[in-house]
Amino acid sequence: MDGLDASDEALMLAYAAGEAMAFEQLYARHRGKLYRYLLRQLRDSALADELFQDVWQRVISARAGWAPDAGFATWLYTIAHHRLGDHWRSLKHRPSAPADADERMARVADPDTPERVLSEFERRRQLQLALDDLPEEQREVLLLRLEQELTLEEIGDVTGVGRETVKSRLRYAMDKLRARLPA
Amino acid sequence: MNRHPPQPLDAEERALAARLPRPHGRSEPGPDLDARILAAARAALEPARPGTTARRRSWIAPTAIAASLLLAVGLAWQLRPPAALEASVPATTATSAAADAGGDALSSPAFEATPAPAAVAVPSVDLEQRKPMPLPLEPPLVAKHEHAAPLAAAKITEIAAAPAPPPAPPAPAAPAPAMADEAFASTPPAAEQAATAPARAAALAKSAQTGSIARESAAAAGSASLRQQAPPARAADNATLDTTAVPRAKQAAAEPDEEVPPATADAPEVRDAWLKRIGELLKQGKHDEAKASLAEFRRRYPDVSLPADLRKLEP
Repeated sequence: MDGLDASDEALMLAYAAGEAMAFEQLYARHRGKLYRYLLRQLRDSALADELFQDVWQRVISARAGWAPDAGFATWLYTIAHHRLGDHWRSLKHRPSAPADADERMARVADPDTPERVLSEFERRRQLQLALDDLPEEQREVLLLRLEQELTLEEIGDVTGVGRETVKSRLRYAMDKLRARLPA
Repeated sequence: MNRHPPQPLDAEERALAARLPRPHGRSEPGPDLDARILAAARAALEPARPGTTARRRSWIAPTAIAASLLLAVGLAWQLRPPAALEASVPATTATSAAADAGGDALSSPAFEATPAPAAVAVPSVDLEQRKPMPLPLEPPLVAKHEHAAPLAAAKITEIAAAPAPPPAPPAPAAPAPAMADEAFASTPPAAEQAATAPARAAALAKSAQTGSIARESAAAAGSASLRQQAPPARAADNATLDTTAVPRAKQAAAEPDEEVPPATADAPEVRDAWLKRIGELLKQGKHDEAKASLAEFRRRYPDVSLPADLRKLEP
């Protein structure tokens, strides 16, 4: 099998048939994006390593019963999403943002003034801060869309919600980013 | 899950995606993590390889065969005939040969050479219990053995308990063994049988040594088939003994006064024969012998009234 031209689904079927090389190619395609997706959610490299390995172990275990009903990437991030949910539930989730979060943010000294020409580094930092302030479900939908380029339906499949819910969450997230980030 | 057509990012989304900051620290899994995951993927495929399965199954067949053989040997060892029973077969055979020679064979060389003298005196119940191990080549001996055992025991008891037999009348002593068993009475004379007893004992011992397997199979087949396997040389003897022994014994039990002599010396026939013998001695002029015999008769039978011709002999 030509790994360069084969689709994710074809590689997964080949691995289920016993070709170890197919799995290596599939892994090479998704390892970086999946790891970053987890790391952005967890913000802890050790936890990201643990969940990353768990996700791929589930892929290996489920190879025999896997059917290409959906895209491999969708299935892969569905596993990752469920694994993240297990992690949050085990930690009783992170505490929700306080009610006076906006006031607290206003009191934080902001060295960046409108007059200052922001460097690329500063712009990235501001985006990271804006992402961190997003609710979890909005942040996840936004990352799946911007980083993984999944469709609304695929994001809905991954997160287990409907397309309209995904669309709504994505719209709220984008509005908050626009408000936080300079044009 | 259904496949959905791709939805490319619009301009605003693409601008934001380009500005996504890199996560803190490394943004990719480390090489050790990659190695662990790839190793797990390869290990998951190994159990399905046929070579591993063949190696795993290669020891199953020899182990199963060895276990089966061990079980079979163990069962055979548990089901083997008892050693004591096997050892008693030659002794019983020699005893049968001695009994076959008649009552006089009790003192014959064959009887004296019997390795287990206790087997001679054992009750017939024990011999009946040993019937499952008969000799295939000498089935008539087994049949005669069943009658000879009580005969031998009765003979020994009679010899030990009775006083010295009267010298003159031979009739009472002669019919006594014949009364015990009609089949035994049909055998050749005691002297002839005593002469052939050692030869038969030797032949039986030889057959016991060489025919143990045939003995076991014959025991399972039954005594009827054993008689059919008897050698031709003894076929006539076997036919006479086996086919007539039981009916003639029953006939003798049904008609004891006609053909079977009296079983004891006190029977009237014995006394009459004794008195007739004394009368013959008188007719022959042997008065001394007649008186001595009459004296012994009177000692044995003091209450019997004598004939007129013999009363004059009494003192």
